[in-house]
Amino acid sequence: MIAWILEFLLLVLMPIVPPGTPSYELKLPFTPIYKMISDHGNVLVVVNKQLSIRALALPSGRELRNVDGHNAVGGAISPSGKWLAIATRDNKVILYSTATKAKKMLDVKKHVETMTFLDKGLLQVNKTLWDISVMRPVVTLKTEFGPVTAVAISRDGTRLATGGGDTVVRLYDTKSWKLISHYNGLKLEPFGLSFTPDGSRLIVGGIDDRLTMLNVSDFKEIKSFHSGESGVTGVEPVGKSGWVAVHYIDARTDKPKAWRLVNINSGSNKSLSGAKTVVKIIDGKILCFRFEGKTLTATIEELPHG
Amino acid sequence: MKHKVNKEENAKRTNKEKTFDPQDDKRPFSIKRRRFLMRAAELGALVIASPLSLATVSRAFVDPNRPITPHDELGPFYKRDTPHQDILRAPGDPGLPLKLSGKVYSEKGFELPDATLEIWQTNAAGIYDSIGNRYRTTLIADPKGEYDLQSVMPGHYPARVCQHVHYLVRAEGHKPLVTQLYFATDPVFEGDPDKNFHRDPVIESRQLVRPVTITGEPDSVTANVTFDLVLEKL
Repeated sequence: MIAWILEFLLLVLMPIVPPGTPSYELKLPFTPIYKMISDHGNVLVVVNKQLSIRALALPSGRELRNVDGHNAVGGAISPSGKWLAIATRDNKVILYSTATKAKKMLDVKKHVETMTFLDKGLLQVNKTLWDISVMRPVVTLKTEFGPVTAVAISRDGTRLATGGGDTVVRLYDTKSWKLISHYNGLKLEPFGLSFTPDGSRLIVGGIDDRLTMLNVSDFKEIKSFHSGESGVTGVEPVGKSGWVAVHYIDARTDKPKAWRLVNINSGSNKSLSGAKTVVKIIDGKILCFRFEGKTLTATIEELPHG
Repeated sequence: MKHKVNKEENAKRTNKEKTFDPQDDKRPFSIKRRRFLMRAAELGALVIASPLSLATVSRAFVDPNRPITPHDELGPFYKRDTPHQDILRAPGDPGLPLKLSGKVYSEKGFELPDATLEIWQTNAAGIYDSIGNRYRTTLIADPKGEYDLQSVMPGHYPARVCQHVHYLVRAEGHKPLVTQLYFATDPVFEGDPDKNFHRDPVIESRQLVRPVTITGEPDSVTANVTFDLVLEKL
């Protein structure tokens, strides 16, 4: 109970810490090779070389779930941090609750190429979107060929966007699950997708480093430009500011390279952090979680002027 | 006694060969075909260069069905609308010259003229061109379903274990095929792709690892690889 109160106090107090200064520091159980942080910033998942997996509460570091012994090929954490999904080599997805001992399993029967957790209890695994509250498939997502490379849901939950290996971005109505629009103006695959907070725009990041802004109402391109780094694999709008946190990989090595802040209106950009960082936008604030060995340091970064 | 049994068995076998069973109409033909192939092999008219048994070759003659080419991961770095170009290797490009060729078939064994083949790979240094169209092409199979391409042996892309060439093949009435070609000569396999093809976790089937034939003069050698593609009907 005391740990819960402490976590609550730290989460409440964190935003009043001056920008750029460490908000908190945490010792991890091991040096992670993979790490994931829930969209709410409350759960960290770390994986080591031996594929030991730990779900830890942030910022306390309290262990929520210890998952070992899986031949894991990938993982995802739900936006609220409540569920951890582990894809295994034998084509199964195992869901672990981080709050209770609950465990569920999806037999997806195919090698898991891509998996993303969304709000509203939705989990995308390859081309299938599952509702994990009832453990049933909701819709089969379309691509002419290749996998679903990215997926995003609008804040009000009415629209779902997907990117495909066929380079096409598609828009679905989440009531009927009908495909309502598509955009095929990209040359290379989209790996980063995010709706703006008001749901009127969709930001698309491509492996060629391009950022493209689409108007959600007619799915027409508003603008598209080279953002100045390597391949884009993640985009996160920073509130209504016009700035977008963009994650890049090194196209030569396929490894994480950097985060930059890019202004989607002016095209200007600013370095945010290096490869060892996970960036989350929480309540319009930029949280940088830096990993150095067994140490995690969380800081709040300021938006550039202009 | 033993001799007698053999004689009886032979008589039974001969009768069976002569009997036409509509439920098993391929069998008499198959046996005859097999004998013919054996005879052809004895006389040197048929040379089985690859490590195939005569039974396999016999089946191939009898049964036009072809196994569908296995799928393999798409990307990343697929690029749409690449230009038609059958010579990807520019003069002076480093790397071992590579000739890729093959045919596109339906699973019933029919050639698929006008099939579209989108092919992309890294250069010899293992780098994809995501800005331009180096080592990327879109080819149309000729009236016999054939294609060929001049390239270089791709380098080792650091995020992947093996050298590979990507294919996206489409033909009317067939499912698009996304696959990759690998080279039996890749050092990763240490000369034994049967045993070691799993070293690259992306390789979904041993069938995708193809033999390499070296031709040419000592100062101008070329690696030649044949990669036939069989598409599944829609």
